[in-house]
Amino acid sequence: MRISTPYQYGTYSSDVARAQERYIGLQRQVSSGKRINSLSDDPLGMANVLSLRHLQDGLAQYEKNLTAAKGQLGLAEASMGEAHTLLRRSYELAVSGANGATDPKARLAMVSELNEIQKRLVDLGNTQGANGQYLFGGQITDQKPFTVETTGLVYNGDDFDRSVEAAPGEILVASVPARQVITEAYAAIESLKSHLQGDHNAISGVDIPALQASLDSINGLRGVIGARLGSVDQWMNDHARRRDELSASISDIEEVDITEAIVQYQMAETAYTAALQVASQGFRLSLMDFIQG
Amino acid sequence: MPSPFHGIELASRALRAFQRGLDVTGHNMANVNTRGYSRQAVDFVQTDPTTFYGSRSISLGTGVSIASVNRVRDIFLDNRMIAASADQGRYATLSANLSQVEPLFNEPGSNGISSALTAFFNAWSGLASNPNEPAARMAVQQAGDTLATRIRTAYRDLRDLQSQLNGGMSETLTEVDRLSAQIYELNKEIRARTVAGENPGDLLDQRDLALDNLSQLVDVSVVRKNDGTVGISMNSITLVDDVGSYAVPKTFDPTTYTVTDGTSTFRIDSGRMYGLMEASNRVTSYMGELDTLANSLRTEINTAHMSGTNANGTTGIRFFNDTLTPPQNGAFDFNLSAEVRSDFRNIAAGATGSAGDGGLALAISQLRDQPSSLLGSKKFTDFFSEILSGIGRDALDAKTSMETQGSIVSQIDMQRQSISGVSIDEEMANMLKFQRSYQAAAKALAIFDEVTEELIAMVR
Repeated sequence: MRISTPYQYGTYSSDVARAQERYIGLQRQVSSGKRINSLSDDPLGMANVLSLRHLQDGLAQYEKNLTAAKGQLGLAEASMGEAHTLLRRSYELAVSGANGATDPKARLAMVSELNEIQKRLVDLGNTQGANGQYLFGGQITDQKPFTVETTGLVYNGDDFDRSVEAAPGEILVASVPARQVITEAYAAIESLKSHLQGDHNAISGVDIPALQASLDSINGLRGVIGARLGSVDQWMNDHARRRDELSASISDIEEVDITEAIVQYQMAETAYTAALQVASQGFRLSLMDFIQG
Repeated sequence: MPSPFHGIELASRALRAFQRGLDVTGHNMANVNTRGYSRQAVDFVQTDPTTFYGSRSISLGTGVSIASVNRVRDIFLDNRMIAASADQGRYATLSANLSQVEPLFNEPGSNGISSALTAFFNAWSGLASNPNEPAARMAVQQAGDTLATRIRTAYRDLRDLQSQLNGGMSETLTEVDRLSAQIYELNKEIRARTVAGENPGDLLDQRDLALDNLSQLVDVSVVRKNDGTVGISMNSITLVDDVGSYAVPKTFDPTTYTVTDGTSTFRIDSGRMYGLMEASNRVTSYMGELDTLANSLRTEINTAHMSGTNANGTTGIRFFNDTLTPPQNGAFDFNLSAEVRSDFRNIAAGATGSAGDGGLALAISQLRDQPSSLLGSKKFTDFFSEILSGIGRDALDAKTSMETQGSIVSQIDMQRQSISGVSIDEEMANMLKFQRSYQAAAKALAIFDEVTEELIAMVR
């Protein structure tokens, strides 16, 4: 084949350009660590990466939601724990108040202790969360759920749950329905107080079973809270594991195998150097050097 | 008997011929870098012999002269080049323009629409967890704004690209006219020279270069005539004939790949013009997909949001802007509604408006995992990643076709270079050859001169 000068130079420069393009491309992969740097590098892999990343970012949000739920449930658990202690104390007072040998002075002291217990119980019912929201008023989080009026204890909230998104399509109830528990406990203590000041024979028949029932329902509620906290932890563990898996899948698709990339990079470098060397030697050869002017 | 000066005349003819040979070699070397140049070769021929009569009739050679200076060119390769370069023009244009679409979307990365979509639904999920928290509501406002802005910006960038493409189509048609006119003028000159018996190699080179350029713009068919001229047509439009060059119609319709002069329409089958039209159609479809995305977001999110009651007790507020029901404004002016834009407290998190009611926010957040009938039963994020992978696939296909077609063209070009390209080494060798021949002829002239001198001396 006849080789013309433009053909010769064109071949050198296109060979060098090709080797250079590959060399720079691999350099970019090695330095960015990424195989996909634009949509057309791998359209299908790209779409997969995007949906995986969408899932991953979603999980991060679910974890935030669960953290918020965990805070609220933890506070609710602490409040119900304290309410339980208060009710136990009321129960003890009821037992000694039911005893006929207890003297009236002591009964009066019990009444004033029970007044304090009631106040504390209302305070617990009005527990606020991290953002100042009331935890036990259902969805009415901006008003005190429990207030003491002349008619007795009044509930100002509603009976709706507050839920958070825990996973795709899954919700977790982060509120605790304490309306009944608090109201019943308050009423039981109210009745105990009146019996202590009046017919203390009624205490063992009426108030002790009522307080026992209240204790039981608080325990029941704490069980619910504990179960929800358990689910929160489980979801969070699942999400953390799933996020790790997703990260691994994303990097499988998106990132270069660095060992292989470096080997290829070195091969490309060798090829590039060779192309340059061949070209520079080819450029040097010319009949002109052998003709005596 | 031949003239006593026969040898001197013979030697001087040879000197002249070799002188021209050196000139042509010089011309070749001077044009080693000229685009479209074909090397020229001198065609030496013996001059007619003279006859003299001795004992019988004897024919005596009279030396050399130049029959012609030819350009070395393969018309078959030229014709193949014309066919191949239209497709190369098409794919190179398509690929160059589609690769401009990719960066408009900022993907993959955190500045694209897909991460904004994720962040948008995440913000609603966050609001559902903390409906009483102003910061959560503000986050929804911000995420909505970012999403709308990114969709709107991508759409507007695509629209700008499309108007560039339209400008490119007009320019291409004008360029076709310019090249047709140039080819017609060169044809005229070529015909005049050919009729006069010349071989106008340089003019033919210029004409063929113009023809190469023209064949990249549109698909042309070429008729080569005996007088060296060419007739050119594009589908049923004549661009160049013996009489003149003709302007192509300037009204074009990318969707049907046609140009029209008002009465008839003509197809465009390949070339840069076709590539521009193809790119324009792709961009139109991407814009349409963004319209669908924006309108579906409007419908789905607004329908949910309007059922909610915000902290101010107001209901029926749209989240995204929207003038009609059903709303179909597209991505062009996609934005938050004026109410939501001015005050994040207008965002509803629940149906009741209670401070702790995050039910609506939760429902909106869950829309991310629900297929929408407006998107062909796809989820928002899936719909968008399909748009993106479509864009990536289109760009990749165009690039692959461009590379294939490019290698075909460069193969033909190499063959052409192999035949027509100047080789400095070869020309140097020719130069030596002609130089030596010239020296020999000069030497012969000197000898003939001496011989003649002897002859004259005899009669002195």
